[in-house]
Amino acid sequence: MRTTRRSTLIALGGTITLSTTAGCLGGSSNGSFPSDCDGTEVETVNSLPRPALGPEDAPVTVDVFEDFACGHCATFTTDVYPQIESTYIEPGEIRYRYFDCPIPVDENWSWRAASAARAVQDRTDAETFFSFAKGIYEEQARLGEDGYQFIREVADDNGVDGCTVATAAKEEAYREVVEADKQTGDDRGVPGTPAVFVDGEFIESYEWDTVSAAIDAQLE
Amino acid sequence: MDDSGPGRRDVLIATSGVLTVAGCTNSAAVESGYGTAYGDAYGSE
Repeated sequence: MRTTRRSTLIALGGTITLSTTAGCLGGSSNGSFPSDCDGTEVETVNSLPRPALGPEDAPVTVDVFEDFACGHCATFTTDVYPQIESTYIEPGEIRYRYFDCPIPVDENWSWRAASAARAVQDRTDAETFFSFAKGIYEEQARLGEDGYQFIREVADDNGVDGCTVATAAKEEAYREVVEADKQTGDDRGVPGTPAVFVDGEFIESYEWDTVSAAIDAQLE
Repeated sequence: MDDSGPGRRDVLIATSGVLTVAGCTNSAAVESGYGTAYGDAYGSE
């Protein structure tokens, strides 16, 4: 039912500013689907709870919009998120909510990886979703090299059947869920990714100092 | 001679307003007005 789009590689060049820390994944459809996963079936899902951590009644809510193929999102997830987690989420001071927002930086993998992550969430819980997402961001470049196999391995590492998750990526089984998130981002004027909102207010930088200052201001 | 002014001004212009944090976006978003909150660096990818 789902179409698998295999388009040619699009090199996303781009100027890099002085403070740029990471580039975005070059578009590609590289990576053949693992033959031993052929025949795996997944259902199309059009609604799913939001991946979120921290108490629902936390005094501050942090919303983050990300694209799995965005290099800056990888930087945010690996450098900034762990500090947010230990400083605010684990002590229960914030409710941290994840929104998919495929720019798309990569017309294929931005969507596929998002569907894969939602497939993990659908079969486990929010904690495992974030763990899977971290695994993808940590080796993000592999999406453009052997994406399906990479997704399969990260899913297996998180205790979810890798073939099922790779199939969800291939068929974009959660595309409607992801598109709904993206629409939310559009409605809120998300200019790019990662986009961080603290209690609904857009934060002009995803750097730790800026984000933590905004959270602290709301906690005071 | 006071002809060193323009050169110094050029340097100041060249080094101002560049150190902003970038993010990922697309050209369509930039053209439609998105990205202003992140400064010129947004849209670099």
